[in-house]
Order: sequence, then structure tokens, then C-alpha cells
Amino acid sequence: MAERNLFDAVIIGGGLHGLSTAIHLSKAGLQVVVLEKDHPGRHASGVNAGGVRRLGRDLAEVPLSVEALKVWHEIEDFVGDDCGYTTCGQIQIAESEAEHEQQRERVAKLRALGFDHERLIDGDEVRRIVPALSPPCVGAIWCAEDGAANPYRTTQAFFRTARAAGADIRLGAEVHAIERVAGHWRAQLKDDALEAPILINCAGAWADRMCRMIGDDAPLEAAAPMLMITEPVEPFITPVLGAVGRMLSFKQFENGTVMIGGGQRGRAAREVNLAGTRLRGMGNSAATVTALFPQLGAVKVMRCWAGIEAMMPDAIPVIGPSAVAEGAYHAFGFSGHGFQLSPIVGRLLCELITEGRSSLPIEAFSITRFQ
Amino acid sequence: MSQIKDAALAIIGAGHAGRAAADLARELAIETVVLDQGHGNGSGNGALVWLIHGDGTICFSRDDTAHELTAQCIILAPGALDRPRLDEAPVAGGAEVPDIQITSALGLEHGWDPIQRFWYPMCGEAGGTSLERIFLAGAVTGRLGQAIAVWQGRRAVRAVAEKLGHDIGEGEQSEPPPAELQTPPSLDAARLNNEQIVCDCEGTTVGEIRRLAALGCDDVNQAKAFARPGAGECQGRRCAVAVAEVLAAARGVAVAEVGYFRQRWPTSPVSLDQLALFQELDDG
Repeated sequence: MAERNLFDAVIIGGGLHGLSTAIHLSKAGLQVVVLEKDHPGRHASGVNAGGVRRLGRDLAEVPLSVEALKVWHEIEDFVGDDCGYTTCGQIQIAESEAEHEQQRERVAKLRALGFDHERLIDGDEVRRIVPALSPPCVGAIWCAEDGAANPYRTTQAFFRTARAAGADIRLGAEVHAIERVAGHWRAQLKDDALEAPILINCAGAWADRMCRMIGDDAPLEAAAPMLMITEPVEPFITPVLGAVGRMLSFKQFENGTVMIGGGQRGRAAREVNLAGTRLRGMGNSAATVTALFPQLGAVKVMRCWAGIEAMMPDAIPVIGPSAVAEGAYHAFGFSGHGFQLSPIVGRLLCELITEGRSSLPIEAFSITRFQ
Repeated sequence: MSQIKDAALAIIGAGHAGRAAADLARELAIETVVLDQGHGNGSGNGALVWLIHGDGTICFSRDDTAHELTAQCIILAPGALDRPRLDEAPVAGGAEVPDIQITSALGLEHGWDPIQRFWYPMCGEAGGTSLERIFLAGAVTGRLGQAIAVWQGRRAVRAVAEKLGHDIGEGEQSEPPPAELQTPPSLDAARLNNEQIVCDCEGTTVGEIRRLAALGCDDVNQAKAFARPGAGECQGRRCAVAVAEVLAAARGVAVAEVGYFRQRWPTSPVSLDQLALFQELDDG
């Protein structure tokens, strides 16, 4: 089959969601080709904080996120590598009574839906979990079973596993056109064309272009979240830390380096495939960190970087079938928090394609919400 | 955060090229700021440059104060670095490589010099680049030696003066002096053993680069994402050439095909306190 460039499914995008989908479909016996314009992890999949977080998710994402965490806890079974995953916990601190009240409402809402993974804790318990924290803290939401992984190691493990499962992964394979030919999709590359009855758009910040080629429409914004990493320092914090009132995601790794993120944006130049940093945003992140941990002021940031990610206006992804085209599916627009969901999104797409239904509710992610 | 008075010309680096440029700029009465972090030749002024924009904006700090200035033109003269030694072969003549951190972060195009075995940013004879406000001079251009550095520094200032509309008269019409061509012995990348460390900062080995090449890893930035060469303290200043040569040999392609590390501002380590000084900056 492959000699004739005819496959069962063409996946556009070799990031984590494309690779996860390739793994699941290949294991289900489908001949899959993945078309990646650069290399896996070039943008969002490689440039993220590696947060494995259920905490604070949009309510529509919670069932997927809860299921995904089960895979993360056994990630080696899925991709043959521990992906640097640790169950270090995730904590979101409240620095005022008003912020803590917001957290109470949030946790009550989750309880009403039957989810109890987010736990309210008081200021004393916060100090026990994060003794290094400087300002007074009213309380927090604590997800002890959440964690963090290493993005480039994860991407590499997904890549290896997809290949080993039989997926044909083409690097440097940019899709210039998509056509419908005799009941098949044909993805046109510079010097090749691949066909399949099933087309899956996992093209991240470039997914809106793929949408237009098949007649869908998605209001996607390409943004460039920035991250910084410090020199190694003595271990002082275990969980991933965020705050209600601040843009921050903060994690110390085993080697002592501290990763600082939280959504400050750099420059996204999608036309030339480049993301640049902005000094102001990095300055804001640095100021946030030194407000919470003044003892880190002299610590050096070794490296800053940014990657291009797809942001949707409602900050939740598009997952599911095309609104208009038969045999076409989407998984993109994860808006800065798709890393943790990657093992489960591939599974749900595989279910949709092979069984015609998804085992978890995905109606909220339909592309039809933009039409 | 202080807004320094805008200047007609900013010169980054006060080595041979930078000093020659500053001297001529003074003669021509071009309002000039020289920024140099000050190790090495003693002519620096302690200015740590964290970001340069193609539009002429420069963010730097000095004595724990953050500054921003806009220059109508910028001459970049960051110089060259010692070439790291990977194998045991003595390096006979030619132990320098251009310091391309800044030019890479600016997104300028770079070429590979197969004889001198290094990456260099592309520029015209007067130092002009694809960014109209940015000029290059000195060893960063890949033309090594004091005489050519001085000539390039002066030539760039004359180009800047012309661009700014200064009357510089006939000026100098001299031909450029020859650069010192270095011919380092080629690194026999294929013969290095797998245990050899190629990136000191991150401890990445030759074997890891080869493993990545076998996995389909095409360029050095992909290698950096997966195995971290160039991601450490020196940000690839020391290992960029060696990583490229080992990867190219493993893939059986020309070095020019595997590329150079993509840099992002700031290109050198900066403390959180220093970085926080820039939080009010309006850098669009």
C-alpha cells in the first residue's frame, strides 16, 4: 500500500497530538503516515513547561485530563520511556481572601460534577508544602497526584513509539495543498503526494490553514509563549507552583534548574517559522518570581525561548470531526495547555475513527462552535 | 528603567573594529554610544547588552540600572572566540571562530566557511546587512586580523555617516587589507569516539549526536532540543562548530546543511533581579 502512497490515514503535524494519534491508530492496525513540516517538538510540543496538570482546567477538559493522568502515571507502558515524569504535585496559591473564595467556588463546582482531585488547603498547609514561599498565603488548591514531565524527552518517546508501531513519519514534509480525489484525501507535498480516506489535522499553530483547505473555519491565533530556565540551585521546592493572581508556572527539576513560565508571550512570526523573546514579558516573569521567592534574585537565567502555539478565543481546543468534510478530523488549538492531554486525545480520535464514537464527552470541542 | 537619550550610532563591542569605528565617528561628529561589557581589553564600560532589535532599540544594564536607547544605526563588533578543541590534534594556526550569538539572535543570515571552518553572518563590504540599521565590523564577519578589523570599523562608520546624511567629503578610498586566513586542520569527525564530549556545558557526547542523526535528526537545533548541546551556560558559543561538524559527518552531508544554533535574547545568562529591571519596558 505504502508504495502507492496510499494509506489508511494521513496525519498532518508530528507534534505530541499527531504522534499520539499515530500510535493509537497504528496499534489499531491502520497504515498511518505523519507529515511533519519541521521535526517533532519544533514548536508547542517541545516548547512548553511540561506541566502534567489537572488543576484549574476548563470544566469541559476535566474528564479528558483526569483520564490522561492515568496514562501519565503509567507513561512507560505507553511509550517505553518514563518521559522524565514525576508526580510532584501541582499547587495554585491564593494571596488574598478574595482569591481563596474564588478557589472555594471552583472546587465546589468540580465536586458537583463528581470530581474531587482538586483539594482546598489552608495557609499552614501551603507553608508545609512550600516552606520557601515568602509572602503570606491565605490558602491554595492542591493536586497532589499531578506532576510534570520533560517535553523534549516526551516528544522523542512518542516519536520512537509511533515509528515502532509502524507509522510512516516524514520530517520536513510541509503540506501545500489538500484535495479530495475519488473519495480520498490527497495531501500535496513539494515533491510528493499522499492519499488516504482519513485526514487528521494536528497542525498546531498552522491548523487553520489545513482547515481552510478542507472547507472548515477556525479562528486561531498563533502566539509565542515564553519560557526561561535558570542555573542549578539547591533544591527548595517540589511541586509545580502557580498563583491565582499572577501569570506563573514554576518548577524546579531534579538537576536543580528552575523553569519559569506562565504564559508571558514573545513574538510569533508564523510566516518565517520563528518565535522570538520579549524582554518585558521575561522581566514580568522575573519580577513575579522574585516577589514570591526573593532569595532567588541573584540566580541567573541561562536560557530563554519561545515556540509557536495555537490559541483559540475560548482557550479550549478543537477535537473531533470536520464540520463539513467527510473523513476529516481535528485536534489542535490547545491554547497553551495541550501537553498533559496528549495521550488521551490520540485515543479519542482513534475511537472516533475506528468505532464512530468517543468514550469521553468531546461535544464542547467541536469545530462547529465557531460557525 | 531609564530611557537613555537616543543616539545616531551605537557601537557594540570595543575591540579593534569597535574602537576604530568610535574614533572615526568622533572625528566625524556623529553622536555615538559605545557599549562593551569590559572583559578582555580593558576598554569596556560594563554595559551588559540583553536585547537588540532590528529597529535600532538596545536594552542593556549597567551598575544594576536598566537602560533602553534607540540608535539610528548600530555597528556590531562582538569579535571572535577561541575555537574549542575536540580531538587531541594540535590546532596549528586558526584557533578563532566569529562570535555569532548576537547576529543569530537578530535573525541575520549566516554562511559556512569550509576553509576556516566556522559560521559567519552575511554582510556587504561596508558591513551592511539585511537589516538596514545594522552594520557589522571586525572578526564577527569571519575576516580575522587587526588591520582588516580597523578598516572595517572605519568603513562601516563611513557607510553610517552617508546613511545619516553627514558630509564626509571624499573619505578614504583604500582597498581592504587582507584578512588573516586561518586553515585549522579539519576535524576528522568520523574518527572521534562515541564517548568524546562535544558540548562541555551539558555533557553531550559524540555518540548521542550520532544516535540522533540515525533517528533522522536533520539540524543542530533539533539536536539541541533532543540532547541539549548548546543549551548550557555558554549557549553554544564553544560547541556550535563541533556539533555541526559531528552531525554533518554522521549524516554524510555538508556542514552548511545542518545549520547553526538559533539564539534568542538575552544571549548570555542574566540574573532574575537584572531581568526584573525590564518589566516596565515597552518592547512591543
